[in-house]
Amino acid sequence: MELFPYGDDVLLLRWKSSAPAPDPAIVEEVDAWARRIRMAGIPGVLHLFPAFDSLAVTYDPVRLSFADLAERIRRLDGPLPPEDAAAVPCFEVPVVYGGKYGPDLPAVARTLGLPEDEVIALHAGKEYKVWMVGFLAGFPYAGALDGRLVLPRKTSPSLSVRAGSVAIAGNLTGIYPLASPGGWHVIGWTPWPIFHLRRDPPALFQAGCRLRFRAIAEDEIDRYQGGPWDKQG
Amino acid sequence: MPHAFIEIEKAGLFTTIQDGGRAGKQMYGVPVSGAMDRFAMRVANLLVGNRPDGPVLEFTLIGPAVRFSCPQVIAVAGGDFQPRLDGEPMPAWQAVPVRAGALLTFGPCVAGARGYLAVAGGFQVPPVMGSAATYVRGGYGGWQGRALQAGDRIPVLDGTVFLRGTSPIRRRLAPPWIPDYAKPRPVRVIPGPHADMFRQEAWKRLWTAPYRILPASDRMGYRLQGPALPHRQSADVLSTYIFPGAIQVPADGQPIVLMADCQVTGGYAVIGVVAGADLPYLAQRKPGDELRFRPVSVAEAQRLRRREAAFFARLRAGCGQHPKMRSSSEHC
Repeated sequence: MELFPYGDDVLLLRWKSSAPAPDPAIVEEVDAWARRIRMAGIPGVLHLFPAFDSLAVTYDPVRLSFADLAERIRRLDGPLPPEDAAAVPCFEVPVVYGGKYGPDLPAVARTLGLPEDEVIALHAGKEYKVWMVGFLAGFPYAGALDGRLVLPRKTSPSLSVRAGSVAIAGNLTGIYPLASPGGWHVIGWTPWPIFHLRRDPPALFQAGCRLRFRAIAEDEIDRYQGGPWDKQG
Repeated sequence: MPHAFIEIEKAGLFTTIQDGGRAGKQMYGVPVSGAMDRFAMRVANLLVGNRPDGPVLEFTLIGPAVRFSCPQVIAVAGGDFQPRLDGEPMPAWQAVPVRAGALLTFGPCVAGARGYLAVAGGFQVPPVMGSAATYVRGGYGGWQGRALQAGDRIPVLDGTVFLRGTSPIRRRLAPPWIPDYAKPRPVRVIPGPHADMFRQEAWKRLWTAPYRILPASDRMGYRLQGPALPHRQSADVLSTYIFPGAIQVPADGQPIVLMADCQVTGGYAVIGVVAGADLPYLAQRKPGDELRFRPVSVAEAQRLRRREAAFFARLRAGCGQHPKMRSSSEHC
């Protein structure tokens, strides 16, 4: 990991990853460094932006120079107290798989050489960590998918992916917060609204939180339209 | 209190409400947005006694026509749009009292590209995610999430309170501090976090060749055209957070400078980042203009930022805050 100036008010911690896909071990390191820096409470540090193999730290250059911040961060290297699992939000996202809700499921199953049920079981059978939020407002990049579900993006993106679509690409799974063009394979749909302008924070998911998917039937959709906002308090 | 508003009689070109933006919301996928020329926005706000990052009108190349329903104190800053009040030339970079019913118009933009209008007390629009900035692509913020149209009435505070006992109000920015947007000057760039991904020629070209701003440039970013900036191998990185001022270089080698409405994450190597002190100048360039870049160390760029902060602290101290504004004085 190396530290770079990223303009005059951002410092970037950058990991050298050779793989074209996010490496779970590096993502864990990014997360650990984000916690270290957050816990250090360095005056002048404003916000942390963890990504797959980088961590952007914004700061006030009037209070803190790049050289001083880099030195403070280098000195943080050391053992990290264990993550407080109870403090990490964990969501169980209801998903209607297949049919009109997951139009790419048949093609995904065919390409992977698995029955559709198996694709669903593998996708819903694992806990994921949100590695990054971006692309669209509130879009969670979560990983890592079971190795048997890994496949490249579509060669030609869909012109419109419906809001709520649950999709996979590479070793990642994500949820489209709004209708958008998209190159990921849509295997299901969640009735949860995952981004809301009037909420604080506006996005349901943040880097570091955990999520699972749970298959629901079409006639259960109404029960989940409100999302988890109220229950999560 | 009577219903106070400004009425947009002519929309101008891409006139939006902007402010200091939504810094710190990018981790939710929300762009920063806000004024492109933060210097002009802050000066305009401070001159009328507002907080520096409060809401202003930002207009582009063609100014709007604005009618005031009640007395106001206003300030115009940014590019030179030759403002007129009821047909009479009105000074920019200066607080100006306005009578009820007055009409503010603008002439052709003769220097720069973006103008700003601040009114004492600020535009009264509901904040979205902590900011009044309009993000048109997302359809939120500012006035109904869109650019202003003729007939829009934007609520403001009745300015009578700001005028009381302080006549005439002529607070202005001292001329040496007024930016000269017409004069071309190099844009200072701090070499970026992916500097090692570029070949030597890329640097030679970036520091010597002119780059033209293409028509497909907007508040999201400026697409530039000039000698290609070659990568050593790939142009791609794993998605990382990106910020206004970052210069991304896709595989074709043609740089893109990210601006206020840029997406929050990007997958192209960043060759450098425009010094914060030069972003306002960049915001005042328009398609067809040529840019030249010059390297600057992060330490020097941060010295410029501290100097700017000291300038604003002095301006703020001189301008005072609501509700009372002191009379006729020159600052800084």
